[in-house]
Amino acid sequence: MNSEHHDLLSKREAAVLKHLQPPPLEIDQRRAERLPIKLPIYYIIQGSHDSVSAQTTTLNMSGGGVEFLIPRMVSPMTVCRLTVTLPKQPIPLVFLGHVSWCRQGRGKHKHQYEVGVVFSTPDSCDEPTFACYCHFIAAQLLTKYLT
Amino acid sequence: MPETSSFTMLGRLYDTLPQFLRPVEFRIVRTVGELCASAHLVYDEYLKRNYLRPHASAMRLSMYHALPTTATFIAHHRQHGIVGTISLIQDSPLGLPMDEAYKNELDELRRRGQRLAEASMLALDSRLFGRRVFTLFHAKKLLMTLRLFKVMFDYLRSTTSANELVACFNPKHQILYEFLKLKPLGGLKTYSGANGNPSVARHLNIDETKRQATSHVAYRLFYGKRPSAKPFANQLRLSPEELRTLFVQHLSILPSASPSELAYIQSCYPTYAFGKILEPPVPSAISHGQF
Repeated sequence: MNSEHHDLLSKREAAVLKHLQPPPLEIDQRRAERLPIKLPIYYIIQGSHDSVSAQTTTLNMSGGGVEFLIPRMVSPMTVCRLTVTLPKQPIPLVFLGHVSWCRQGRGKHKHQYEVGVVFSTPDSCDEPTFACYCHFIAAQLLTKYLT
Repeated sequence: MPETSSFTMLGRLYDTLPQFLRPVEFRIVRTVGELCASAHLVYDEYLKRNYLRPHASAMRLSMYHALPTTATFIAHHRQHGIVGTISLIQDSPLGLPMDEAYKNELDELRRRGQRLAEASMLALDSRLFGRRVFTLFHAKKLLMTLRLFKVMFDYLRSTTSANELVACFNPKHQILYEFLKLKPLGGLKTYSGANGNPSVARHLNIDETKRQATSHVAYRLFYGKRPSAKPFANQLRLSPEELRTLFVQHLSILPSASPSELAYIQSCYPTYAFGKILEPPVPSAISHGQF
């Protein structure tokens, strides 16, 4: 058997094997899916020397955190306190978190900064608050995919 | 992994939920091989979480699985086989598995005339998802879990007379069951069925779910169409040989049952020769007892 023939057989064998063996399970590493939810949010981002705080609207949310616009750049790991008002919930939810990333906004937001805050939950808030938020996110996911 | 490639992968996965679920069939177990595969999945996943002790059989089954009224449901992936499972155990003179820890609470429901069924042994193949993925935040995991619940729920409504679903589980899953509106049934306890891990119990009245069918987003999935008993017509019914191989040879469940438990199981199979089923296994038969 010459090497060309050998190669050809190997390719065939590989093709057959590829056909017979299922591909490895595709692992979805995403821990929480971002949803384009716009909700009122009040934030206090506490830097080492000063703080920035305001009422704004979320750009998107996930089970793990929230993204919104702020007027100036802040450093990753800066701690924050967020107050989120969910629809049909009279009492706002309070979360502690930290800045995961911050970047200059684009387009009409180019004079602002987008910030991604990761919740320090469930340690930072009481269990009913966390449960309420979890149920809200799950309902949003189901609404997105089932309707 | 570089950030861009990671984002590309996540973006792609974000759009693939329908493709992810398309090759997965949610249905009742039809063969003993499927029952073993689901019991193996539960064993693997529970062992990772220290919910059970290692066992040579590498399967998690109980005496209740020998009953013809117990049904196991699977998420069957066309290429990868069984990737999710849940069982429904109907109340009987044997009671329910969670009677071990919550007998008083269950007896109270029984006294009120409720007909109980326990949702048990829920497991998803953790290789499908990243580590520490929380079900309520993850669309694929959430939908797989709810589709398994739906097929169990359809069976419960179309095939059984049960009107009260009960479950006990590790408290870390409490938020999921709370989302599905299961009400607290019993406080925090340790439970030998969960290898001494803590558990809590909850219950769900089926008539109440019907009343909330349009207002709760998950119930809208459960009550989409009136369930038919037809998909459950080919439910597994264990043969005498399968009962023996599984519950005597692989797992010494029937030989360990009390006389009254055994008498009830026998009464469920009036035509089976239980003397033969219960004969002590020949050692060589154990390793060759394949399905």
